Amino acid sequence: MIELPTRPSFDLKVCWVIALEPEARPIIDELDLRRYANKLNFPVYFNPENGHALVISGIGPAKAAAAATCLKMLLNVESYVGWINLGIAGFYSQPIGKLYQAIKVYDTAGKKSYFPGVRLSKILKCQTLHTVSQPEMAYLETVLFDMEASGFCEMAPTFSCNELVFVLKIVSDTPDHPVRLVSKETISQLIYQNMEKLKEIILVIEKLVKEEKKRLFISEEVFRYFDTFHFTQSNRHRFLQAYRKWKSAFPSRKLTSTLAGGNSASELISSLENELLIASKNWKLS
Amino acid sequence: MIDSIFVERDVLDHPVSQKVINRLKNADVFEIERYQEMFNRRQQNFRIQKQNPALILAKKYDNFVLPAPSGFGIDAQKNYYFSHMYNCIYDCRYCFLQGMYSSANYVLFVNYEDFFKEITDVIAENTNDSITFFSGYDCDSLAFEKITGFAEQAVEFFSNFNSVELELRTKSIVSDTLLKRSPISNCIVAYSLSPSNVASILDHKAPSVERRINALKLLAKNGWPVGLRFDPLIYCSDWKKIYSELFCQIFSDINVARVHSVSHGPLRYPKDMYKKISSLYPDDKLFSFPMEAKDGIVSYGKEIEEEMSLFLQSELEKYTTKNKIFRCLV
Repeated sequence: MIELPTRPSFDLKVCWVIALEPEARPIIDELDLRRYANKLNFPVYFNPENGHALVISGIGPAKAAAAATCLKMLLNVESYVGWINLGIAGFYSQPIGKLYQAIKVYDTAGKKSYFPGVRLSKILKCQTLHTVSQPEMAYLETVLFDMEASGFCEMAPTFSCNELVFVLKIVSDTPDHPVRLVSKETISQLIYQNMEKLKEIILVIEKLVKEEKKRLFISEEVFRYFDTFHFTQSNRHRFLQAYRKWKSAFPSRKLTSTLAGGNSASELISSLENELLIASKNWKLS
Repeated sequence: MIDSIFVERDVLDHPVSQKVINRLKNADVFEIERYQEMFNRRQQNFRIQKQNPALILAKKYDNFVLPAPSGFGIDAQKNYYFSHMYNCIYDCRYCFLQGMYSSANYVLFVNYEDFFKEITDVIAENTNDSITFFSGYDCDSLAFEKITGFAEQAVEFFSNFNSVELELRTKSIVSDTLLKRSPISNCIVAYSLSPSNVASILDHKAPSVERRINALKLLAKNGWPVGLRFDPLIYCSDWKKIYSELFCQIFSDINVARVHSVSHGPLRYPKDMYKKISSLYPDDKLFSFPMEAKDGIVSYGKEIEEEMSLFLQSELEKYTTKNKIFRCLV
């Protein structure tokens, strides 16, 4: 067990929300996640080195939503982080063990649809998933069946964005192989046998996360000015806006040299805007 | 290209839906109730979704034809626009669609017949006015033609109404639909153009300007009236030189009589839209320019706008008559 730093200094990339321990075990092993000692209802695992965290939610959409929220609060998860709900699912046909991305999740109780994630169709097939309140026995529709995804889809996009929320399901039971025959060992086995594909998916999601993080990134040099000078809320916003433009125009310049003479928030903002204005006379698009 | 099609249950059997599904044989098809379930929802990320947009086939129920914003037009007394599609396969950095929708998925309204019915009604209500209908306001008129077949039907429809004009606005070089039939004098194929080094930086996924110019010249040669649209005008250090070169390139080897109209317009955004688009691409130099925000509009500012407009006007007058040149001020 490891201790969580008071202010997360690790670079979190992906949060996993998984219903059952046998589903989570292969991911915990593969990503070398360690149990975080806490007194919460949901077991949490993470690895500060590779930026993956995992919570075991238990069964049902409400628990999936609550566990995702718990993880978000506990680790102060940033808005560029990817979220994955991985688990087993029923399906109307074989083969057992096939991995799908659910791109339409329908909550049968609430009669509400969700469309999570950018589609990873180059890596895996996409399917519709119905979140049901009882294990599916009839498999009458040509869709996947699970018991958590809709709850996850209700909450996770509010922590990040819809396109960074992924629902991945592995077929565990079919009309020929009903759910009562699925053991804990089988569940883990199904996840392990998809590990190569899951690793491929992780790489793609990490790349998306990296791009989104870069888009939202605010440099440490900005915060140093926030600490040093008094900024009203409005000036803070103006400074950030001006800084982003200035940095894009002059990527190699340092704030300290441009703002050397500034004594107030307004002066700092003016300095940045003036440099842009001077450069605008000879503006290059790239 | 498109791997997933979402179809509203109500239009699953519509002939246009069936045609589109057949043309995209490798795409998976998913049923939905209404396109708004998945289009333009909160928490969607346009930039990420743009990496792999899906196609949504939907039915439009109202507002098939709308009055064009004032300042948008090419000489007709009345200007209308219609959008059979939302979003575009190109990814032009200045495009207002990025700020209009939070979703990059393409929505195609398959009930073309309802668009044509309402256009017929608008024409009937305005028999004494000259009218131009603009297609390609919320999408590119031709870029998706191989899949949608909309322009083909629209041109056929407008061939029955010689007194009203249809503008197909595009950056696409896919003009087979037009070239395979005889031209109609009231359909203007209007090309959006920028100097090639500007387009190569900003017009992502769009055909090069050289190819667009070749395509418009071919259409003109085949008797189609063509439009030249320099909108938005992009400011950079050598803008005079590159716009002059562009005009020279376009007007060489073209029958000027086939040039129906030329229009130019400044780069402008409503404030909130600018905020949204620039936050999608904070590193893009297009958005780091010190723009001016005035009366809720973000622009290069009056001075630059006027200078560019005057220059373009005088340059264009070297090649075509004044009455064919329009300044768009939306």
